[in-house]
Amino acid sequence: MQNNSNESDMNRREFISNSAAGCCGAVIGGNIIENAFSAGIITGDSSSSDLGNFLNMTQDDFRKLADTAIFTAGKNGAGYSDLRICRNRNQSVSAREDRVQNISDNSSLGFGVRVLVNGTWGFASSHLLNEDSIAKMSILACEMAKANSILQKTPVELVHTPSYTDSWSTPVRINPYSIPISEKIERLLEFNNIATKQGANFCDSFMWFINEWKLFASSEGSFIEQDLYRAWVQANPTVIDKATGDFGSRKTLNAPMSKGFEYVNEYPFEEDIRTAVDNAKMKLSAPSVTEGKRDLILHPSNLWLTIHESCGHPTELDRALGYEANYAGTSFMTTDKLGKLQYGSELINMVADRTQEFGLATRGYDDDGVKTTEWSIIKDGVFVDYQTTRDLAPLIGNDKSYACAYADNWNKFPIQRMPNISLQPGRTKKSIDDLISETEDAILILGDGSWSIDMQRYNFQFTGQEFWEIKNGKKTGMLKDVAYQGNTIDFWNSCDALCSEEEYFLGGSLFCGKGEPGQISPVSHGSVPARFRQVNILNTKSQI
Amino acid sequence: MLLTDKEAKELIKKVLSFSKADSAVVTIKGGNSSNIRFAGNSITTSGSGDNLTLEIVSNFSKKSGSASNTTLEDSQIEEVVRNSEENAKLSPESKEFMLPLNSGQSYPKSKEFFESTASLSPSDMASSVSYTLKTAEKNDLRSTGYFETDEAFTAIGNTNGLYAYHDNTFARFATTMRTQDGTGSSKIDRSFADIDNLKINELSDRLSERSLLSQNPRRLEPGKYTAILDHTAVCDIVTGMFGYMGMRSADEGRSFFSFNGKGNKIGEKLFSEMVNIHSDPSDALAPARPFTDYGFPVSNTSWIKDGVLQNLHTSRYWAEKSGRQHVPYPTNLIMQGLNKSVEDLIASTERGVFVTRFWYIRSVDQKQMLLTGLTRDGVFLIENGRLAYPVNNFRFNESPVNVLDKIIDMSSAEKVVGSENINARTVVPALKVRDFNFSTISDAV
Repeated sequence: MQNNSNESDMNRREFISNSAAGCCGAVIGGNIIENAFSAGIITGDSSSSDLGNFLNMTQDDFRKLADTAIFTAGKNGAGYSDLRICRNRNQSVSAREDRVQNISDNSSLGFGVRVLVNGTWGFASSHLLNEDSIAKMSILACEMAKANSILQKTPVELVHTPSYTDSWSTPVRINPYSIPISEKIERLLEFNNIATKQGANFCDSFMWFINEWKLFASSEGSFIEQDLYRAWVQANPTVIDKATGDFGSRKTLNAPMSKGFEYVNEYPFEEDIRTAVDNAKMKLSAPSVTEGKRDLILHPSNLWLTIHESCGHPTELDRALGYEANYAGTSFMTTDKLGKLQYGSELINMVADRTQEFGLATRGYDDDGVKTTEWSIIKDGVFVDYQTTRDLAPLIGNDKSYACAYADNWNKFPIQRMPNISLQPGRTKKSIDDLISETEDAILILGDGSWSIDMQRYNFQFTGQEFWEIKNGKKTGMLKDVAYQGNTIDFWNSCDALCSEEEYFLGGSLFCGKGEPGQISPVSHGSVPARFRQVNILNTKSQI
Repeated sequence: MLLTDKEAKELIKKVLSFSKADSAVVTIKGGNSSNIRFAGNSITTSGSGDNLTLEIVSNFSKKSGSASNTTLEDSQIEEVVRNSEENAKLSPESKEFMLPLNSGQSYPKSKEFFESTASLSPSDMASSVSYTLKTAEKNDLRSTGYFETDEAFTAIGNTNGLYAYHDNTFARFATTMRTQDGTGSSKIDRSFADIDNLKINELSDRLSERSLLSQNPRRLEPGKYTAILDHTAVCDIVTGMFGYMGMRSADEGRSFFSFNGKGNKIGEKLFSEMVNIHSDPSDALAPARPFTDYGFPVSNTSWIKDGVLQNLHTSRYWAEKSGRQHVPYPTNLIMQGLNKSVEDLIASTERGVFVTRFWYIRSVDQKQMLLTGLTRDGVFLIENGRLAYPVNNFRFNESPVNVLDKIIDMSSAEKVVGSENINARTVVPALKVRDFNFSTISDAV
């Protein structure tokens, strides 16, 4: 739940933390972010990757730790076991107008041992990384598996995966930890200054850099080191209409990505901040939208969140099988609909891809040690596949996993998490200007705003950052107070036009929430601008 | 890792010995946590974790910076301290900076650590919930759930010599049972410091009954109905309101609790006179930490008495600036109930809607404190003093103030877990309220 109080009281944060934001993914602001920080963690030694560099440990030292885990687990009855050593670092800087709000640098190091004893999982973890502690946790994990097996109806089976000895890193051009914090502060203050000069009354901005280093070793012989980086920078100018006391804001439209500090230099922040201020002013005096059915053109900066909620979540196999019924919810896309459900119009092709460039869910291997891949989820409008892990895949008769296992830290059990899922561009060349010129009467929406969707992912309601009226092929002016509400199936079947690949844009979130205990996961969704016919438009002011 | 009072004190002393800052505050949190999850009446995963986080905030004059790590090694502890100091030096002066508190604070007694909970081994967890899975199986229901136990501590120390320590245990049982056809669903979610208060078998029986009752909901039009909100739903309403009960936002005219340009609404009767809410870390049913994250004592505080607003939480900075007392955010909340059961409330209702839970609550309008959300896991039409039949879910748009003002009756209070604040220590009654605004139908189950 959002909190309106500016009083910075740490107790409040604790009291309200762990909100059921959930399951919704994309929680921007609010407690998930605070949870992310408390789960995340860091110290700022700027050395990176080389195996164990930051721990003063050699490859042999790590091999020894892995052998200890696997040997001890085997001796205690495990048919399968793996060790994950993780170090998560999380650096954040935020500023408001000309002042720095917060600088923090967190680090978390520990390990988890996962075992399968007679078809039942066990898992134990600790922040104390040494041989004794690893042996102790391996035994505890096996004890738990044995005790819990009284509740196991059908033994867990894992689909086959080849073993790998490999290392994989996010291709980062500038290591964000090599840039001093003072430079990061300078850039934020510059952003806020641009906004203020352009006429914003307030502007807040932040930079986050996340580094997730992990080593995975399994009893099947895999030994995989990965070094993942993510970055997000955003500015949010606000303008106030002194006459009415109304205020309007518009965030920069960029999304987080798997990139290094080059992310800060590549996005045209200065230009987008000026546009944000101008358009926030324009929004204040714009007419309030009239309710009713209208055609919509959704820009990818808005559509990514709709894809996330209405295609990403319902095609998670664990949700469809009821594993998340106690928290995030279930799915209307049940296994009997696989290969049959006309999810969307024939234009709709959704591809899942954990190898996509800059994708937040992109990596070499998942936390089952399976090599990542790409596959179709929706093909020519038909629902054709789910997201899977090694233990979920056999439940729908698949003999391989799509590498979707992920744990957000060393102390969490890996669960099925969303790959990057993206709407494929149309095959005929079409720019957004072409699409607008072919449209008689519609609303164009840019940027993501608030969202709400039910626990089975049928009904949704989304807002945005900018709303433009399209009349007879032209943008005629801005609107405000717009929300669109729909049913997943009707909505995607009403899509009748897609732009081509030149308009492709990658959106995404660092904070998709799921599972008990709660875990966050980063994921990207790309798309092109798309047109939807006769969608229900609500006026957010008249709902009150 | 669960550190004792003495061990934590020594560790904090060591951390502070590395400090070169003008002032610094160290917080260490840690403990052991175990959980199991199940779905479709079978176990899915389990986990046990040994955690420790060490955080330091260093200050140079009015500049602050922080850093944290999970380490216990001297060299890395020193590195965390240095990092926080570097961050502080880079930070400009804060206009709202407050010096760390002086030593010699006195804290209320709070017993939140129970051997009964701490002694449950990770391997004992399965047997605790086996009855739940069997009950679901026997009634042809699908149970999905989560059971967690923790032992934990928090220790705080600063360069003025302040030191505070609190340990606690936590046991939470949350389970959803759905009918095989997917048209019915019910959930129960409870947590206690003392696991002996967690009657898992009894809760499981109640859950399976309610799940069967919720099958095949009929259509009920949206609108304003007399509503009976079960404890869990009330928990979300009350905790949802607390975030807004800040002195500063009231003084600055940004809140519902602002009084037309002249201060705040303390002393005003804003709610039904049946509403009495206080916080007290020493409460036996919902014990809580008796100090804030910076070591200030959290004492017994009345927030609403006989419907009259008594207090708004006030930060140290705002208290000093506005010449008031510092009123920290509470660590628990207790709303008094009456000596009645939920069944009594239903029996006295001619026509109404019984809501078991809310879900996905979001703020719509801050000034009016308007919230929106969905009902979930069982909604029933009440006719002539009994549950007539299950009905569809709704989206609602309501203000917690309206709900607490339109109370007709209430049940006895229970410690429950809401959908939005799963770690909150909250004791609330079920409420019967007039004219609850169900705005649209939601087809999801």
